[in-house]
Amino acid sequence: MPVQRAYTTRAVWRSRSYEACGPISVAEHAPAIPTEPAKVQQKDSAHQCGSRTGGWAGGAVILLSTLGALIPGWAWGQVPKSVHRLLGAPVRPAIRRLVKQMKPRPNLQVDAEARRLVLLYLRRGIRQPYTGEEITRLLQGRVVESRQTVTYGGPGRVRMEYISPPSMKGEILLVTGGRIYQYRPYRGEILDGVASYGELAERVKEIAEGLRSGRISARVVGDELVAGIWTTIVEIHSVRGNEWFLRFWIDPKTGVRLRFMRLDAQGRAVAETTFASITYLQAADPHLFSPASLPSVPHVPRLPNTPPLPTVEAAQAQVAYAIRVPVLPGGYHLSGVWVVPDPFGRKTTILRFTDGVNNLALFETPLPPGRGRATVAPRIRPRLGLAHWMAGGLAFTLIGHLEPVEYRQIADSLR
Amino acid sequence: MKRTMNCQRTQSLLSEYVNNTLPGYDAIGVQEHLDVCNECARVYHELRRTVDLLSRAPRYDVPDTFGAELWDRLQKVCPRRSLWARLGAFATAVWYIPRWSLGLAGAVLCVLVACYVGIPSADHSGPPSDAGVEAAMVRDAFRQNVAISAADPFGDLAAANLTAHASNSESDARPSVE
Repeated sequence: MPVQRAYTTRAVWRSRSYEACGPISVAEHAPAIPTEPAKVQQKDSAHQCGSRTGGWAGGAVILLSTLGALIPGWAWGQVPKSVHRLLGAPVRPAIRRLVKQMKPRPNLQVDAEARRLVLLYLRRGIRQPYTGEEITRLLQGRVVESRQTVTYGGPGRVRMEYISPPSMKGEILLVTGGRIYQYRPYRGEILDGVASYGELAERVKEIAEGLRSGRISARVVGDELVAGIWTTIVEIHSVRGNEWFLRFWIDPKTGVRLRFMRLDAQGRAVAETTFASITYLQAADPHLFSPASLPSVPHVPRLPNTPPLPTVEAAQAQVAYAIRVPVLPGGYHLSGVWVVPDPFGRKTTILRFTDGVNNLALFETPLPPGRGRATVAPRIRPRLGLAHWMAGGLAFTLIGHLEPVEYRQIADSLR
Repeated sequence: MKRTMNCQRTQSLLSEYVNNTLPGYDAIGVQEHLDVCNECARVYHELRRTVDLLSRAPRYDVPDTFGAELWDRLQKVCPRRSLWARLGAFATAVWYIPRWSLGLAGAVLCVLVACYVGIPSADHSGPPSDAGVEAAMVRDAFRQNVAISAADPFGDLAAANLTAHASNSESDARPSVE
């Protein structure tokens, strides 16, 4: 393998610099025919090079420390200070250099390219109209798959028509004019709510700012052919580091995201959506984005009907119970509050939190009469990213991807 | 003991078997049955001989109107039965249904009616069960989550919707308690 050989060359070894390993390009070594995960190449080769050098240095430091520890304290005391200085002077800068090398240093070239691609997606990709067929899979446990045709008309204009599975066939999701409509043929109804364009614009701004400030990190990890188009694979992490993260397959020409994958902290794919075919359009057919294009069935206002409220206090004025705010893992902050009608005719409060990459939605609903004191321990379904529990007269439903212990900590903070 | 097809099923498939249009699995079943059942083997051989005779018979060209004329003649020979005649035939058929099966059907119907009338459903009697409340709330939460994910460029609307459907199908199963 060329990458492995490069590490062992004398020039690279002697230089002990990251730049020596830097020029190894993913494009040069990418296999001609893409395969699944094998093709995702680690582009942070500089880190590996550094860790090889650091490994020797670390070993030397450990050896010296062990020898030092074996020398009794009284013996150290006997050594004159001049000898201390004599020994310390050449050793200290060397140790400093070694520590610097051991510390994983981000490959700025790679990160800059990844940032550029994510910004391209946010600025150009989400403006590019297209039509195509997508496959969505939930990958943990029993695999569930759907196929849908998607017509994208620009920011806040999406139409999805489901082809399969049979239970979803004929369903239409339409986002247009700041609203979302979900036609459910098996119920003969359309759920109707707000999907504000302002919120989308705000989120784009927040992500771009996160990328600039380093709260969101991105790196290129390879490239792959998706729906006949070469894409660059970008991994996106939140400030929390090794938590759930995203992988985007971005067309570098248009910025369109052709494949999307959510992975857990161990790097296992949890859900993905990929295009089986796609055609870029000059402009999408406007008739497809008209609510009148949906079947003529009753509209049910069961989705959030207002843009998000900025604070919990604003929502508190609309509900008769005390809204509880959980203690969340570090890095999450409140990104929106809604008050919506619940299945039993009461009002549910939705608190949405984000760490820049992952979202958590906490639903707080007053319990039906006769169950006010019910307490139910958290039931966790990691596969669906769901935890549900009841405490203090409220039912809590948490949707978001966390480790089981984190669900429990959030539940404990609301008892 | 290996089970083979019964005579009724075998004879219903014989035409296709003779014409070699029967799918492989059924053809093997028919073959196995014919090996052990003399009666069906006799029917098979008669059918085979008839098909062979017909295939060797000379062919004649018929006029285009042949089909329509044949249908008219058949209508005259076997006139369409009146409603009363068909009801009479149905009553005759019912008369020949075994008495015990009618009794059993009546008993099942009585039990179903008693269950419906005597045991009120959860909707009629006070608050729903814990599992019902939980399932309804979870379903609703996932639905709302689809809507609030729609405006996130880092979100996946299709995956959110599929998760909502998956949660529906799994709502009957008890969730894992950890």
